[in-house]
Amino acid sequence: MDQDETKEQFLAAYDRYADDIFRFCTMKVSGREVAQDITQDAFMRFWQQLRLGTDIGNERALLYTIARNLIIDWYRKKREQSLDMLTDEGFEFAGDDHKKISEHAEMREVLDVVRDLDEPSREALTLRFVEGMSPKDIAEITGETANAVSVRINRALKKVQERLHVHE
Amino acid sequence: MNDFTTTFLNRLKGITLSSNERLAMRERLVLYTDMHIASEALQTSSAYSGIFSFIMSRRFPAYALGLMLVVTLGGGVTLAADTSAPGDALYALKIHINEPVMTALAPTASGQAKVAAELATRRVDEAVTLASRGTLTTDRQTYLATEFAVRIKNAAKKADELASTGDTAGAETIKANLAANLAGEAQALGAVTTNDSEESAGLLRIVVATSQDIANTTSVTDAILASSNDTGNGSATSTEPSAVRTMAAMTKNASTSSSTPNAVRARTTVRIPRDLHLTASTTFRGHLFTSSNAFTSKTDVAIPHTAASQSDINRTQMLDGSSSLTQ
Repeated sequence: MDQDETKEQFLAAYDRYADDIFRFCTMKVSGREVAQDITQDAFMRFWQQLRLGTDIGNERALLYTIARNLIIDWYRKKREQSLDMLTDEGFEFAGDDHKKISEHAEMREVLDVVRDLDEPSREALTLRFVEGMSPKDIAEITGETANAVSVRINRALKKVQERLHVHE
Repeated sequence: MNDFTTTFLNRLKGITLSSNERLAMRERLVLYTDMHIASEALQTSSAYSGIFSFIMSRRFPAYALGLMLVVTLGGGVTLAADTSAPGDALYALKIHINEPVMTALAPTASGQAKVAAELATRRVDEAVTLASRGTLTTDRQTYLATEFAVRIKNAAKKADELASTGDTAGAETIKANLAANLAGEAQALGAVTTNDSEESAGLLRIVVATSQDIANTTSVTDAILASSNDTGNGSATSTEPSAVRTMAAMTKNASTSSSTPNAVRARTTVRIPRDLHLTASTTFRGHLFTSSNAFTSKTDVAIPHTAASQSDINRTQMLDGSSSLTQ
């Protein structure tokens, strides 16, 4: 592919997955601005893969993997807040265009619930039920087996349901 | 999982970029892709990457970038960077700031074609600089050979775009100037190339062949292919310059979609004179850089046509992927 075709593929991936990757980052880091920076960095690295002609099988999985590694690096460098501190600090939802205050309150309520989960469980749960990934897809990103991911999701789900007083 | 829990978790989908944030990030990424073109071989240093990441970050204001460019343009840094070569401290500035700015500041088709031709010539100029310093290492030569091929391809594309706007004369002039400049650079490179410097000799043959090719209206691919079998005195041998070998290694996975007709086509041999005297007065034919004629053999050069060997086929496939003009 030449530059134009590669760029077209890249921007199509951006348009399709930018919000997903941003949300994934937002769930893991302590601020909207940091999440934006990591999202942009993730796409820059994705471009590097594309322009070097790397055979990319699953664009979405690769983007999540890149973002995940960037977040790990970010924590290594910063050694600061995790999601547990995020809501305590008052995570800024500002910038979400015209979203209603009630919607922000609802999102915050969900964050309050999922923040009680350990990080791997939180990641697996949100990738499964918010992003709609299969356990196999999640396993590709986290480097685990699909079975291990399924077990983690089920346990996390039970915790959320207990918190919500929901019974199947 | 019941619907309530699903709905509950799905509220998190409300976390999105705002439309302004999404658009601004998209624009920054477009700029980034323009600064790091596909198939570019240069890998940025870690220190440079850090600086560049900051410049490209959302926190780095656009006005600061503008101010930075104004300051550098107003000072001597940009000028110094323009004369830098691979390995120099300012080379990254040249490649990733100066040259994209040059392109960005040339909004017309004519201006862009001129800049594209200038950028192709610059890579050879850098080889001359490095060769004169005795620092034209294999890696740098490989990088410059690859970059030269990419830039030539882009220059041809831009010239074709200019011609398609109706300014055929302008396109021809740009091609003529490009041939002249490449010839001049080839002479300079030849002057600093020693017999034991196979690396620069390989690049030299590519540049000379390309320059001649443009001047003689054959395809660049043919010329580079021919140059790979030319030792510099005009006799064809099986010796393959390292420049071509390295280009082959770097581009062996390039597109082979067009390889079939080329694999069996007769090759032309471009004789490279020892004195490297090339002229820029040759008039270009309109089909020079057009894809439909990119692989036709010249009829005005009396060269015996022979079936290509397997190695020739492989090399042809490589060159088709890396150096053909308007595919």
